[in-house]
Order: sequence, then C-alpha cells, then structure tokens
Amino acid sequence: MKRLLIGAFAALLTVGATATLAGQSEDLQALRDYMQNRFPNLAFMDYANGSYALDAAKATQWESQRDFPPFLDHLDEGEKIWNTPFTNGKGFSDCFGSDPSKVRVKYPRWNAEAKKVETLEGQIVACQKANGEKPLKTKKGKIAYLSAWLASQANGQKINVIVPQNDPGAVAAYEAGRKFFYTKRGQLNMSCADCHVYNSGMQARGNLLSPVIGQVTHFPVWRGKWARATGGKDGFGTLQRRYDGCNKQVRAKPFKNQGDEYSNLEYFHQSMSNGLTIDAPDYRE
Amino acid sequence: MNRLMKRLTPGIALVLLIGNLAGIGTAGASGDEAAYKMAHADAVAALDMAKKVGGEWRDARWKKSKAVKVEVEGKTKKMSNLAAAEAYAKMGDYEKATQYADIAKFQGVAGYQQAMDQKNAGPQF
Amino acid sequence: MTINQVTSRALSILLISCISILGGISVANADAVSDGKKVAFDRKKGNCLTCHMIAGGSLAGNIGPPLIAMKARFPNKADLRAQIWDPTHKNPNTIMPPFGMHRILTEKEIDLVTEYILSL
Repeated sequence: MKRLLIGAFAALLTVGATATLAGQSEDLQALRDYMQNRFPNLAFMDYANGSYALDAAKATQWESQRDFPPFLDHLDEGEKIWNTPFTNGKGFSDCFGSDPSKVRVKYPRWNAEAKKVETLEGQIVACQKANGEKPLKTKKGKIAYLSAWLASQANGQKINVIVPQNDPGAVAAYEAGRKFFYTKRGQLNMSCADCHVYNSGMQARGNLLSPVIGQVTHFPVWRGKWARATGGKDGFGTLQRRYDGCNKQVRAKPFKNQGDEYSNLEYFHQSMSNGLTIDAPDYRE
Repeated sequence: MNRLMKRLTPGIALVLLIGNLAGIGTAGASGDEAAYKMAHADAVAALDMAKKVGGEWRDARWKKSKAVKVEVEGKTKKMSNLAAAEAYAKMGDYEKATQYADIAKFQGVAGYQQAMDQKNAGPQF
Repeated sequence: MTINQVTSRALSILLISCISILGGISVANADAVSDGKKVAFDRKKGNCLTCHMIAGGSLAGNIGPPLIAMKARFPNKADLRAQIWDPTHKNPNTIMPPFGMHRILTEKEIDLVTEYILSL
C-alpha cells in the first residue's frame, strides 16, 4: 500500500512537472531560436531597436527623430517629481532607495509575501498611497514622466527579470502571463503572439510588426500616434497603456491597468527581453 | 380618382411595404417589452460567464465602447451594444432594444466559447 | 424628398430588381462585386488591405497572401466563402479573423465580399 501511495505521488509529481511545461529559461531559448530562424541576420542586441532593426528606410527617419527628442521637458518633469517631497516629508527615495539608477531594473518582480507581481508603475502608486498622497493614474501623464526618467537613469543596464523557480506562486504568475500572451481574444480573435511572434517583421498596412524580444527596453515609450492625439504635446505612455491599446484593437475588453492580468503579462513579456540593454525612453511610431 | 393619384397609389403602397419591412412603419409602436427584458437578462448572463473566463469583447457592454450610434434627445451618442439596448428600451423602442440585446448576448456566448477553445493556449513552435 | 421622387425611386428599385432577375446574373453580379469591394476596403468592416495586397488598394500589408488569381485558388465558391466565414476551421492558429463566425460582417456582406474576392 505504502509503495502504491509513493508511486501515485511520484506520478502526480511528474504530471505537475509536465503541466508547468517549460520554465522561463527554456521559454526564452525556444523564443530566441524561433526568432533567430526568422531573422537570421539580426544580431541579438539589435532586437532592442524593434522594427527599426528590420527596416532601413524607417531606421533613417527614426534616427533623425532621435536627434531632436520630443520628450526632454517631460523627463525634466519626471526628475522633479522624483525629488518633490510628500506632504509627510518623505519621498520616493524612501520607497525605492536613494539611487534612481537602480530602480528600473528591479521591476517587474515577484513579491513572495503579497503573492503578487510588482511593476514599477504599480509600486510608484503603492508608495504614494502608503504616504497618504493622491495616487497617479497609471497609463500616461506624470507617472510615465517619472517612470521614463527612472528608466533613462538605468540606460546601459540589462533587463533581467527573475522568476524564482522554487516559488510556485511566482511560477504560476509567469505561466498566467505566458498564457495571456498566446491566447486569442476579442472579436478579431488575435493573440499578442499572432502579431509579435508568428508575424513579426511583416507589414500590417504601413506598420511593421515588431518582434516580442526587445519590445520593453524603451518603455515608457513616446509614440507618434499618442503624440498626434494630443497635438504633439504628450506622446508618453506606460507599457500597460500599450496592452490596453492592443486589446482594444483586437476588439477585446481591456483589463484593469495594474491588475493581475496585465501585471502577470508584464512579468512574462519583460522577461522575454532578458539580456537586452535598456535604452529609454525612445520614439516609436 | 384623378390621374396623379392613379400614378401615386402603387408607389405609396410600395413605400409602405418597404417601410414596414425596414421597421420604419413601427416607429412609435413599442414592440414587445417582455421579450426585450428576457433578451437583456440573457445577454447579462452570457456576458457574466464570459467575464469569469476573461473573454469579454470590447463592444458588448464595456462602458467606453463606441460601437453603436444612438440618437438620445437629439444628440448622437456612441456606446456598447448592451448600452444601446438599454437606451432604446428607455425610449420605448423595444424592437431595436431587443436587437442590440441579442448582439450583446451573442458576443457574450462567443467570447466565452473562444476562451474555452483557448484553454491550452501556448507557443506553436 | 417629394412624393414624386419617392415614387420614381421606388419604381426604379423595382425596375432594377426586375432587370436583374429577368436579365440574368451578370448585372446583379457586377453590383455584388462593387458592393463587395466597398465592404472589403472599409477599415471597420473587411479591412482586407491590412494583411492582403489587392489590385487597386493602397498601403496594403503582407501578412496574408496577395489576393490574385482567386478563381484558380478557389474553383469552388463555397470554399472561399467558408474560408472568409471561419479561417480557423482549416487552421486554428491563423491570424485571420473569423468574419462570419464572430459576426464581424453580416452573412449578406460575406456573400458580397466573396463575389468581389473571386473576381480578383
């Protein structure tokens, strides 16, 4: 009987192991192999340049854009927000540490006590709430300026999202994000992967679909599309603002910003760019 | 009957027929309120099921949807299918209200089905 | 619109339907092709150009194959209609939306688009 039980337990364990499928590093390797096959001439570090690494004509336009970045004033404002004390006398450095260049690379990360994925924008809001401040909205505006400035302070460092494999909660959050990424949704029945894996490098009308690897290195991003909607004044948006837009485009109801669905997605999504260099903020179409 | 009337009569009959088919003839008439209420309840139930599995579509009942244009008190407003159903019901047009409730219901059912079909979604390489 | 205009319009509609019924398929088909093109090019309806190159359309994408020689590729009209209605039936992983199954287009609109695509 005892033997039988042990056998059953072992069988259960094996099932459990296959159910979690490949872990983070296997996923990363499989995705890199797939992309390498798709874009044999693209060097790994160049994925950080997104579509521009694949389209010479657009890259020229983009580089001339970069000579006159439209977001310098917004970055200054982001720095000012970082340095402005709360009414209780404390400040962001009390939550994030005094070195602003060490903040961006910590996120997203798993909080084992809260059993939740923490994102940079989510933690900015949490810090404000903990200090009795009115929390910023998480898609655009001041939170994007602050987050973009923090990202700019981390330029040159590498994305390195760690999913602790011995913490089932962390693994489950990563798996949920991975499933979200590959799930077809909305009336148009499209997944994130449909555009940014299987059709990356192809054109949807005039837009070249960027490969998933390298998408997060330049966020918060200044998008031409968002800038035009504000008469050129403010093109900044956070990563989860972009998720919201993608979901709407496939005619799915967007999920709550900084809710579990998007934060788990961000956990998976950012980790697929592990090893790439942060170069933020940046301009994209 | 004068000659003009003779010429017009078949035309008028045709216009009335077309109008009836297009639902114009029923403007002002209320349609079936009970049928609408049932369709609305069905739609909400279907959408709640879709929501549970993260499968709701953009234009079924999301409050920021701009899918349907409805004339409300002389102003054109854009809204979701379920909101359009509710707006028409408020105006007493239960026929249109039921039509939009049925669309919302379909989208709830299809969104749920889609989420079920995608249960094991993962990389295909 | 005066009553007279309404009458003449109603009569002309009647006349056109008579001609297309009596006069055979060609007139109706020409209408279907041009109406189908409108549905195909409309960004809120077929929006086919996002992914497919089509003669006469500008700024086309290249996610799907160019829509040329369609009669050779789909000798059976029903097969093309079925492909537009639900492309996931043949390939569950396709990025192409199920225009009929998800009611992105009406059944009538799918008939029109089918006629148009088949004319390419």
